[in-house]
Amino acid sequence: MQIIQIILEWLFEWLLNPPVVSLVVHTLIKIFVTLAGSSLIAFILFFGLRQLRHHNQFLPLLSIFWVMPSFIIVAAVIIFLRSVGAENNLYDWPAVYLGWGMGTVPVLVWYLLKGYADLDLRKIKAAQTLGASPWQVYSRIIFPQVSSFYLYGLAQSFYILLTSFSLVVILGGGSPRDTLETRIYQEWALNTQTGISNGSNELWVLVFWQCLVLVAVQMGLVWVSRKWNVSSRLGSVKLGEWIPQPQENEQTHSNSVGSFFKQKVISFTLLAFILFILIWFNLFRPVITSMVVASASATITLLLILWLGSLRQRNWRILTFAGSWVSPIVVSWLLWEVAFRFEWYDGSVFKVIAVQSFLFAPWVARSLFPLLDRRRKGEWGAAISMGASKWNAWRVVEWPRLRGTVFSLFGLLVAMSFSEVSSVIFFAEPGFEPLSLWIQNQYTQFRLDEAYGGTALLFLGIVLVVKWSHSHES
Amino acid sequence: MGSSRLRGRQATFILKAMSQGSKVALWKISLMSAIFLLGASCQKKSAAPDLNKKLVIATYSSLGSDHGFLGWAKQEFEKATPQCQLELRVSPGATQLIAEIERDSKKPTAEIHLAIGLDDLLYARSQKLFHSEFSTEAWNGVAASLKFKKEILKDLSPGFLPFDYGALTLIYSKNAVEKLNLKLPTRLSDLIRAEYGKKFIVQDPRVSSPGLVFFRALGDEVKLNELSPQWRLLAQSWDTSYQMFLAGEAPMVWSYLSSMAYHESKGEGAKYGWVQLADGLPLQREGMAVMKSVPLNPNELPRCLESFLRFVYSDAAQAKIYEKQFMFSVIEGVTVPAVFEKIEKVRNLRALEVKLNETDAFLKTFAQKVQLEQSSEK
Repeated sequence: MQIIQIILEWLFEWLLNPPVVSLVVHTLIKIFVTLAGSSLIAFILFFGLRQLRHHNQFLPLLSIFWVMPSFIIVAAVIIFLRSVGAENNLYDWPAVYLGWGMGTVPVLVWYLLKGYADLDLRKIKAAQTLGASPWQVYSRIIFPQVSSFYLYGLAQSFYILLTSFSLVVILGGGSPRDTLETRIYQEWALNTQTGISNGSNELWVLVFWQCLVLVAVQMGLVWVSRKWNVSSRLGSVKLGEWIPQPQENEQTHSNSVGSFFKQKVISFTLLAFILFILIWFNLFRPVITSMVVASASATITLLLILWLGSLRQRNWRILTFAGSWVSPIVVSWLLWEVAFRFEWYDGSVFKVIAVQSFLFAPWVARSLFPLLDRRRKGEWGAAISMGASKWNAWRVVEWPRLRGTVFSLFGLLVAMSFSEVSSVIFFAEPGFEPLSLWIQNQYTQFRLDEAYGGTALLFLGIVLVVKWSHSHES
Repeated sequence: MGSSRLRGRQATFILKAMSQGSKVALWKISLMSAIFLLGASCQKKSAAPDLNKKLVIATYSSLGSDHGFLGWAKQEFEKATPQCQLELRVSPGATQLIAEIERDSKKPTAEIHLAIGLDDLLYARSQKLFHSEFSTEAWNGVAASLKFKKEILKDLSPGFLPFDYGALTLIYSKNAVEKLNLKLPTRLSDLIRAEYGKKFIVQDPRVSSPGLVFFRALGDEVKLNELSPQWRLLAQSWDTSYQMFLAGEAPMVWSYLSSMAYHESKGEGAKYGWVQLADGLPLQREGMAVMKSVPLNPNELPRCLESFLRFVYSDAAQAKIYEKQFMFSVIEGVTVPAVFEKIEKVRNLRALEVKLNETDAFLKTFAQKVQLEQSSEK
């Protein structure tokens, strides 16, 4: 009993350290305030958009925010605050709130529109036929269905805000305007670079609290998903649908030469702009580094999930979802600690690829496992019995139906990897600086011209990757 | 059929035989590999560099870069003293420099001989690594001939060899101050007044030595919770803070007095000014210290060490400090570049007392104090 008492006392003294608890509480308060404000704006926008006939067309447009790098929001906030003369709010919490809101509102609107699109319109018509008022229709039919999607979106947004890193670092102006996520990195940096750490904010305590809050959020997400079956009704996020495609119809057929040149001119202009930024800011090395890391992470994750999906033993699958239950900064820090203990100082690229593969696995698993489980057993058996090797059978029978999803996921993962900072920042060294980290450094060192240029390049790169993957989906 | 069975049996027998042989071969290879790896993993003890031929100096990036003072000094010194080679070990910043020196001192054979770029506080923090009683007849003979500036020798720690100094103050943009109709502060404690809200940029004391000087100079005059809402940004480096200042993010920035010389050299001297603090400008001395692992003979210094120290205190090298480091020479009578002439005469300087324990306690609790106090304000 005494030992238990001592352990409990030590735990409480360690975990309930006032500065740490204060940081946790204030991080949560800031997130709740942001979500409250964002929800209000999201509902207003939702009601407004709902009045439009083709409101579903906004869904693809809003899906951009799934891959939009936070640097674009940072640039938008800086430019906006300067233009309205509110510069004093920069490098302070108002700028962070604004940035968070700009990233969260579109996500919430997307979920609300998705929920509305999922409605059974016959129920609404039936209610209206029976004389229900608009308020009754809304409160009895629309709201209950839409709210389940909204709650799911809220939990997802909470996760995004809790793990938000670059935006807080840049717009908050750095320490001491920290959240749990950024304070973990700050403490690590102080420990390793200067030997000065904030003695009462031990790194392990911060990591523990971050994991605890994240697990609580994820459990909420799972609960919402199971109660209202939201995740299966969401469908996959089709990233490339917001890319305008040439319409083949009679009217444009006569202008096909003109539209061909128009396409080529646009493509050429974009490429020229990309080359200009690359040369002007000498970004070849960061871009190549990013491309290597992104394509390797995406490929390894996809291969891993495809392999796991093909196994009869399904128990291993649960491990693939581990990445959604931890914060990227915690995963990176843990790998850094392990590497440091075993004196594995080299191989930053491999470490980043390992971290990103772990973090991206849940995204891939959610899309691919249901597909892999719906194997065409009949065609498969027929192919094998006719002498085809397993590889040929897989190539002819399975690959055609997986191909679209795999390409789409490849594009999604590459786009996510391009914007990743948390998984990279612990392993930065003179020869290894991906584009995302380079951009963050420009913002924090206040080289805004370089930062804007890099941001534009990053976004264009993401657009190209998504376009490429979208064109290979069909 | 029978012949194929026989061939099968033969094949099986051969395979088994081969596998036995290969097992033995594999075992032998593994054993040899293990021996080889064991041998390779045993680190060869590196011999300490001979101080009569080579001098290993630890310093930080801006001092040790090709464009920094030591980059120039290496070339010139090796030309003048061909029998001595200089090796520079460069760390990102002054605080990381100490971490590097500590790591080296723990090795079985320490390699670093001299640390350059320490300020008073860093030297006090790591004094145990250096020869604190650095007095040999040979060195005393050299030092006696040097005319140090009086302010530099005040309260100097034993073993700390100053080679340049800086004074820190608030640099301001005259245009911005005029536009805002801002009255310049006369003391650092004035910065808590409402009129200076978001009007100045200061550096994080945990990672920046100018920032640390700011907070040391402030002392207990001002509480952190009164000051923290006032700064525009707590920059992570002097470089960032000055970039922001030049971009017009704030009318004032905590910086070196020698920033004025930089602006003079660009023809912009008239656009900027510096605040004459009533208590005196805090002094930051940069110095050298000899590592304890260096064997010091009371009668003579090791050849390369003595030659280098003489070189650093020569008129030519001290004059180069102005150009390369934008700091001031510690020796009187050195040729001062024209852009430094106005500020060279500033002698209202204040040496800050080194209170190591208090400073360390302040740094360790800095973030939580500011965070907790900011939270209570909101």
